[in-house]
Amino acid sequence: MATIQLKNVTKQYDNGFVAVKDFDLDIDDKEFIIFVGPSGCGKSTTMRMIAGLEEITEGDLYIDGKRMNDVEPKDRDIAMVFQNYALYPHMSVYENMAFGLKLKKTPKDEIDRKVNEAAKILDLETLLDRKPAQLSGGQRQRVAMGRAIVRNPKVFLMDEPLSNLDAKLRVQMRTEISKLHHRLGNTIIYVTHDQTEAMTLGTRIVVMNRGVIQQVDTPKNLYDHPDNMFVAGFIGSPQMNFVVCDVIENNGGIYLVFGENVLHVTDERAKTLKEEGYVGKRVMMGIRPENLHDKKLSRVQYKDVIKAKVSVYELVGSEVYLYFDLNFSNMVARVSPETEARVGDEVELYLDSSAMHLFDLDTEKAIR
Amino acid sequence: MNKYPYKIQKLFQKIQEEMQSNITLRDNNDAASSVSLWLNKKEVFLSSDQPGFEPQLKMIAYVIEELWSESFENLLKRSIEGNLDHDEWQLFEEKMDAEEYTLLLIQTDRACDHLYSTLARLLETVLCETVYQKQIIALLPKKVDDIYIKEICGTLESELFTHVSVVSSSFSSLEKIKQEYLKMKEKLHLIMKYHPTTNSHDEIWLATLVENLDEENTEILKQDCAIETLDLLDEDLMQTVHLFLKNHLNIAETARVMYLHRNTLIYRLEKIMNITGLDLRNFEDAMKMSFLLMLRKK
Repeated sequence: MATIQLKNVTKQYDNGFVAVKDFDLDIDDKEFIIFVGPSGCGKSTTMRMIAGLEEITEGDLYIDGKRMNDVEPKDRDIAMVFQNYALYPHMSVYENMAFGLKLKKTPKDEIDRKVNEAAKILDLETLLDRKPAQLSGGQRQRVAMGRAIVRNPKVFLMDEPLSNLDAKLRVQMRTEISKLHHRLGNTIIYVTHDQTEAMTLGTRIVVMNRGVIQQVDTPKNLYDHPDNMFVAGFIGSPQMNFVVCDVIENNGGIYLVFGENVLHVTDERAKTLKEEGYVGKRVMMGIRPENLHDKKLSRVQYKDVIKAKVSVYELVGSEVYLYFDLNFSNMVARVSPETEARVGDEVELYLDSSAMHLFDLDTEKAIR
Repeated sequence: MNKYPYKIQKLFQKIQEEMQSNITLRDNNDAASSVSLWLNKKEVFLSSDQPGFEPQLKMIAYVIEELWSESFENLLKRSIEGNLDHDEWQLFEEKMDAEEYTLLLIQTDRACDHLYSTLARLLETVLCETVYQKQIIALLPKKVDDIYIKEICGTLESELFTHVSVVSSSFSSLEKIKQEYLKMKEKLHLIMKYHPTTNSHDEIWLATLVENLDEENTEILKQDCAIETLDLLDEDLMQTVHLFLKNHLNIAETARVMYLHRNTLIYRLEKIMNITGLDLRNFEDAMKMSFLLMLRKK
């Protein structure tokens, strides 16, 4: 059982730099929560404050309802796995995993039980006598995980643990970590800058930017209903397309206009734009690359068609990315590899207006 | 035996006298009884011609390993003080024989019982504790990179639950050890004072300048550069200052890491210029800003 509450937590360094501002979050027991954001957004600092490696300037941290601000890191019942770690070179895998417990003066039979259990979970049983130099990158990473698991902590804190692995191994270890969470059932806080890791691992994701939480939600909700332009642009690859549009009213209908293109909006959205006073103003329209369809291949007919001149054709196996410039914006459409469009071609793309996102240009917040 | 420290030589002499057993250190385990031990990263075998002598050999091996590390701990400690005599230098050089060396100076932000033993196992090299500040010095017979230092920090932090600062210096002649140690001591002091939250040493030379300014000049500079205007920068602007400097005055890169539009960033830089009089796109002004940020902490 481990719930974590961060209440208005702020970290300000001596030089005035505010790394984390007013961070408010409740983490449930057994949750796998991801902190994601660009470099310098404060995600690692937040994790280090939970660990006790950084002091909290303002606000409160609770683990299982107990205030932790002044509790020594070693007494917080946490275990950490970092991006950069070293194994003890002359110790066996068993000894590497047991070392932390030995320091805590854990009885020998208990150490033995915990190391063997962890080795079983991590599939390291046959490697327990090996030295680090005899292990592969993935196995070494598992030993580092094992060092954390044997502590049997309430909370695991993982700071970009897979960043140093090659792409193939990273995918493999991602699955391992996910399985590990199901087996152990501990609360996990996982820091990453990689949105694929965030989307595939987390039960909930905290998107951060410039020290401030932008949105906390499930991976699906973040993708489908981003609260602001930052989240919309950060989650999803290729990125969401953004175009500035004028909101106009014509014969009682509401339309979005950019360049020569006129887009329909759903009735519900038209109502919101009217009520919120956006008619006659400009808004930012966002559309994900998969919501632009090659007209020639589409089985569904959409109301809106845009014409684009393909500047880059990128085949990535199961799909093709078509890059083009539209009204001074770089855009990309994700279409089927059966597309006949190539560089230089003028292509007609359906725009699924029911899937568009609208944002206020000043506040960058979603218009809903 | 004369390649081993004096205390170990004495121990062997005593054992042979008292135990009437021919105990030797060999490169192989061909003797009737033998146990392995690691001296200077090399596995050697403490051997006896008597069968079934392993329990006694195990005890002796333990004492030898302890004496071994203690002897070199003393040699390292005295080498950085410049107090080794000729014979000791020779022994020290033989033990550490390498083409390049790295000296690490390690400090934690809270008292930590197991720092020494953890480091000893992690680095497998000679360590010693400094008298002041409870810093630990480690001498590695190789050159190491920043990733290695980060790995050491990561492991110490996750095993010992404490913030760790490490400075390192690589050099090719052991004779430089005292000189390098003194430089690193100053460097660590500056890191603790000016960068307590980061292990990055990029701006350490600037910190050295600030630290060595006398009071009169500090005041003159503070007034000359209108240091008080920094207090007028709000959090967003302050963050822009830090990230723009960190990203080498590169507008595109700073805008990218901040997820800002280029024009928003330029607007902010102009706002900073209006408040502080410093245009960070200009190298001299950016330099002044870095200097002022550090001067504030003096």
